[in-house]
Amino acid sequence: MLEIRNLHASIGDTEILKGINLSIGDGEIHAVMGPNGSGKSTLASVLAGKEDYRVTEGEILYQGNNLLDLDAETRAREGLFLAFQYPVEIPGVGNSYFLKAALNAIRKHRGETELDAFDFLQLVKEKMKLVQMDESLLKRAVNEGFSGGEKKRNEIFHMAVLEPRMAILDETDSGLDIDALRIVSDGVNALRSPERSFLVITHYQRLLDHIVPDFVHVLKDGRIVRSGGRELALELEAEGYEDLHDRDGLRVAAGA
Amino acid sequence: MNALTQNAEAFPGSALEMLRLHGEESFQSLGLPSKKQESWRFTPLNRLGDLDAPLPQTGSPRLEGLLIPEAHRLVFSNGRLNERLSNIEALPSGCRISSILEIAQDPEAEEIIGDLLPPQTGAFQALNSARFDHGALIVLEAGTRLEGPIHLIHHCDTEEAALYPRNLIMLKARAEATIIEHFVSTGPMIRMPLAELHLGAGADLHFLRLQDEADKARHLGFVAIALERDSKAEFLSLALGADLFRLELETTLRSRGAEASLSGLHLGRGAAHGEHLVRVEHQAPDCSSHQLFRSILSDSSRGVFTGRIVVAPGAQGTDANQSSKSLLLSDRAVAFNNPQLEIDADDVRCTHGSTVGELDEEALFYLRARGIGKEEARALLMLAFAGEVLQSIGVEDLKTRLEERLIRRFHGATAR
Ligand SMILES: Nc1ncnc2c1ncn2[C@@H]1O[C@H](COP(=O)(O)OP(=O)(O)OP(=O)(O)O)[C@@H](O)[C@H]1O
Ligand SMILES: [Mg+2]
Repeated sequence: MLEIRNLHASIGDTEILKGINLSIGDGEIHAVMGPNGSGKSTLASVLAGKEDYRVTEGEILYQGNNLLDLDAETRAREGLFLAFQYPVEIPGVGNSYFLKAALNAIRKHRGETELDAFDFLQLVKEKMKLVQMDESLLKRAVNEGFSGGEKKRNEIFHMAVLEPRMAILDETDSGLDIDALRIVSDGVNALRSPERSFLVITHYQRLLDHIVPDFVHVLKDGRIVRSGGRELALELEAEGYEDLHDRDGLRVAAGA
Repeated sequence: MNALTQNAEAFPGSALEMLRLHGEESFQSLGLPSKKQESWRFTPLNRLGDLDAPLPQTGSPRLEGLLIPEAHRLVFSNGRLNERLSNIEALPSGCRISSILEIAQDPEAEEIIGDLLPPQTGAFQALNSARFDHGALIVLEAGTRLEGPIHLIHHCDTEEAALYPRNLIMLKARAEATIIEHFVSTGPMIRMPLAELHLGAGADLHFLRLQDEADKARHLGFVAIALERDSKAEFLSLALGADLFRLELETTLRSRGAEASLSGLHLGRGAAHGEHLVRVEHQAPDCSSHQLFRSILSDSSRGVFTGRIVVAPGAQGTDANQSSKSLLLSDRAVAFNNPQLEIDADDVRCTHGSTVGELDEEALFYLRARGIGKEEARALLMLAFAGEVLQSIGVEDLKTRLEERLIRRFHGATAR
């Protein structure tokens, strides 16, 4: 699905990603953990096509094609989805209007017919149930005045409607209460399929009790310093990242 | 449609005649304004062109896409009333619409024409007073509620023309109406419209002023609104075209409980200059005024908003607010927002805010990362920016048409 090879990325003159290697197969769930500022969101942004970051070295293959050649919207239309760590408030743009425009852009790209208002509403109602999102959020402006948890739920709701092939969730669990965490996880699990892969960025092992990953990677200072199975998350929870670095002091090229 | 006959010559010594003379004299003594005058500081008057261009040929207006089916309509084509295209047959009793040139038939209107914007207030007000030769007189008797909007269309399809339309609108006590005034042109003509709007006690007026002139046209407008006790005016100015646009909007809250909501949206492109100059005067206690002005400027266009709130001594309990925002789509575009407050009462709630910014890059990325193309995402954000102003358009069908129109235009507005 996704193959990241020796990825270096900078903002201005500062190198933030310093040689990332990561390979995600079809249907796999990979978790990425790591201390604040280690570059997790940067990795997510580079994957989603944010132009502020300059890729200075390396390549990314997505479904066999060079991802870096595509602009952000084309990546999304090809099935890449990023649930933002900080979803953006967009006053004046209706959540529902926006989502319909997004869905139809994606459908058009796939050569499918655009959904009319009625069919869209049917689809949306069904997906809202999945994440138990309040219908009123659909009528409001995108994320405007949403609580932290509502914003995260809205991201998962978008994901459920857009049905991506490769979903990147950047700390979607942060700021969720226990019930919301379960609902969001159930939403993700409901979307799990052999054709759909996930990259889940999180600080908490707790999320990984609900969304069980196939692999866990530790990102530190722009590099993946350790990879393993789900038990690695438990180890991190117990010992923290400092110990990990002290003990290993090595770089592990991750990969399935 | 006899009432519309516009050839009725004004009698010598009539109110119209007096206004004309007074206008001519004032224009002679005032002379053209100069940049040295504070309120003309930003306006490129050198673009004004020939103020004396003769009345053009009769036009053949193309009104497809402009008409509002349920509206009472007056159409002015190249400065003349076109009776064939007008339609005011379904007016209820208590509502009169006629050519402004028929004003002699309405002594009450004749009495007050020129009261709100007398010729000595400025050179162009004087010029309009001296030269106006078309426009609408609209009178709603007390308690008259008009179903369906009144649509005044000013169409011009010649290259060279200097047009001086004038409206006098009187809503007597508790009368209610929606009026849309629509300026459309195809060439570099100059138009200098003036309108006086009187709202009696408890009257309610929605007024949409749609400036949709050709990109080369010049448009200098003057509107005055006077509000009596508990009356309500909602005024919206949409400025979509013209190389030189300026609207002076003078609102006076004369008696307790009056409320004025004034909003404007100006879209600038090319090297166009657009300007909203608003003055709101609170003369009485417990009145409220709201100003909401937006401009979206691309290329090397310029937008100016000057909003002055005057609270007279004794106007206690005033609630006045003002918000002006500009969106710059190019680093050559320029916006000036000038809030001005003059407050002589102490129990006053007065707020104002003004910002100039660019499209929110984070929002743009968020939209694109969901699959929406860059162009469309930009257009969406621009429409959202304009949205607050458009919301107040009550005629749904017209609102939808305008939104679609703006979206198409925003798609073409490229970033630099
Ligand atoms: N636009 C930017 N300008 C300057 N520095 C940036 C920018 N974006 C990211 N950085 C820096 O890059 C580093 C990595 O940031 P990133 O957001 O990727 O961290 P993270 O691993 O997601 O952290 P967290 O766990 O706190 O979300 C940080 O030091 C951050 O300050
Ligand atoms: Mg982060």
